[in-house]
Amino acid sequence: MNRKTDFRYKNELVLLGVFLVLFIIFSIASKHFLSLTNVMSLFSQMVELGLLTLGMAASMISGGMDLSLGALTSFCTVMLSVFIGKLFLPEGAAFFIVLAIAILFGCFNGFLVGYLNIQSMLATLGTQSLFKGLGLVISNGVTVGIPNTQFAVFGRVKLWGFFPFQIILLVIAAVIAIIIFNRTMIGRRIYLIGSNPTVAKFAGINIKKNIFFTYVFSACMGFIASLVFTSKISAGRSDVADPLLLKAVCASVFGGVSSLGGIGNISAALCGVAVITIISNGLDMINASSYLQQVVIGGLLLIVLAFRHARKK
Amino acid sequence: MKNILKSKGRELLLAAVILIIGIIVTTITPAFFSVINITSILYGNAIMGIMAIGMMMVITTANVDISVGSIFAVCNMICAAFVKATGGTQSVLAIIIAMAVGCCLGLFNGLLVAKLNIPAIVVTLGSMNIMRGAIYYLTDGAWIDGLTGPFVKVASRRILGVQEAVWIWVAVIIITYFILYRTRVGRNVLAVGGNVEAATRVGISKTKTYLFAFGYLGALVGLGGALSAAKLKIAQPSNGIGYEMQLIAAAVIGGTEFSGGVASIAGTVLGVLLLGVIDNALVLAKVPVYWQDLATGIIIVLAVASDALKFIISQNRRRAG
Repeated sequence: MNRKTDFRYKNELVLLGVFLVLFIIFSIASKHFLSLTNVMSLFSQMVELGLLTLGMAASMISGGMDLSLGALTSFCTVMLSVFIGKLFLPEGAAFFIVLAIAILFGCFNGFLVGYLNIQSMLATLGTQSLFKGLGLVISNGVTVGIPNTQFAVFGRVKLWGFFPFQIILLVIAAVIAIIIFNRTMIGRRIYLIGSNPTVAKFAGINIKKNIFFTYVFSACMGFIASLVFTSKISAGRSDVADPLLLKAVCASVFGGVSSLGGIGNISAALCGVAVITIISNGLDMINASSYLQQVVIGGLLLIVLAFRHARKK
Repeated sequence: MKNILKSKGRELLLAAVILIIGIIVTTITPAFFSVINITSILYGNAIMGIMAIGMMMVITTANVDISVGSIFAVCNMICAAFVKATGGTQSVLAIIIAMAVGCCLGLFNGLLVAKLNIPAIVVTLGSMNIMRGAIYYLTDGAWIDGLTGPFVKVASRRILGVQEAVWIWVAVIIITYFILYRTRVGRNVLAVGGNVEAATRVGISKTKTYLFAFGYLGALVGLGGALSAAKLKIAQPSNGIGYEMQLIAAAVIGGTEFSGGVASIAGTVLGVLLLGVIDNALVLAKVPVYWQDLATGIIIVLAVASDALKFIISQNRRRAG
């Protein structure tokens, strides 16, 4: 029993170890790092990246890569802000309309990749421009603000005065994703499709339907992330989530999710999120140049890949 | 005739679309079909066109390089720094330096992709971050401006009424055509892209082929970075962000297949021109710039979706027949 668990969650253990080591290093290096405020802000910084990583890991496990996820999230922030800030719709109505739009966009991706059988990177590259363009056209390229209302719950409310509410959102989404991918038939099918579509086909799996589901799932994660973004900055912008797209790919790869499909755990990808976030936050705390973060994250990505390759041999 | 239509259908379609857009725009503003506007479209897209040819080469090997924007910025800055230091007297040397740097960065990508056996998008994602971060870190985000000397005339100098950058683009097209269809390494690119297993079985080196494709792309991106420095007389470390998407889009719209093995030089050129003409048309029609991304997106989705539909229909027909 123990040996089996060890094997299955090895990536998680390694990443959590790295996280702890970094945590100790940064605590020593910066006197501001180890404070309740910063640790809480560290966790709340994980939320948007974590949500996008859930969607990204899902599409990567299915053997693709949803490059439109960042643009979709940004587009949702624009729509939320337009509905609430400009058209003065009730927040609940805006919530459901934008959720419907996000699902529709996910369906469109799923249709292109699943039913038309277009390479996922190619299809989502197109829809990335499409969603970004729509966001730009609707927002006229400017930030659309929303009034400070109860929408704040998704990004700015702190429970008991210190615990950011959005962490709960991430935890719920993560639990659902882990259950779907590790405990349900549909999750197992997506794994099989990712690792070998031909075998999956002969096993009688409806590839089209399951791929379709993956992209709808990814879009839903993008929608939840857009709630956090919109609430956090009280506004929507058509490029707000762009930088997180590639970070989400990095986090997934750190977690052992292969872009060839079929390999990796959702929970390990989340540990990857933790590592990336603590690097950004810690380097900020020791006043390192923000440019350096990019070098460190990119370098780590290549080192992790090289290390895995060496071990496989 | 039928054969030409069949084999060059994509290129003819693209040319027709460009013409139709041109005719529509002419009804709004007669300026479109003027010699000045046409040369300015060619000049405006020459740098993108040069780099898109390189991207086509990498996509033909069934890979992709998303670090091109960062390579562009690095070459752009290094070239500008060299020009600034020498006062712009060594034009050829400046371009060679930029191309050599780009080539080395490309080779680095190619080596990692070939040796680590990992999808190129993930590898180049890493190198993209490293290069972009490094160039920001080293320059502290500062621009290099006020470039002077003979160098700044390199791109815009006119030969036979057309800017030199356009002639360089033409030269790159001819050289690439020669490499791809008349040399062994070009054939290897097509073979490895079509089927890696089969190609390595007959003794073609995957590593060497990848190194060539990525190095070629890097050198062309370096050339683009040098020409951009000459054209704009300024270089900044944020240059080139988002280029990867535009270059991939141009190649794919032109009929280069993402799964590898099929290249179209003429298609890539037309793909760049189509995107450029649409941008130009939107400007002439006084449409806000925000519509450009949307237009690009619609075209990419239409192009790939129509390919997919064509494939599905042809398969169904084969099954029925």
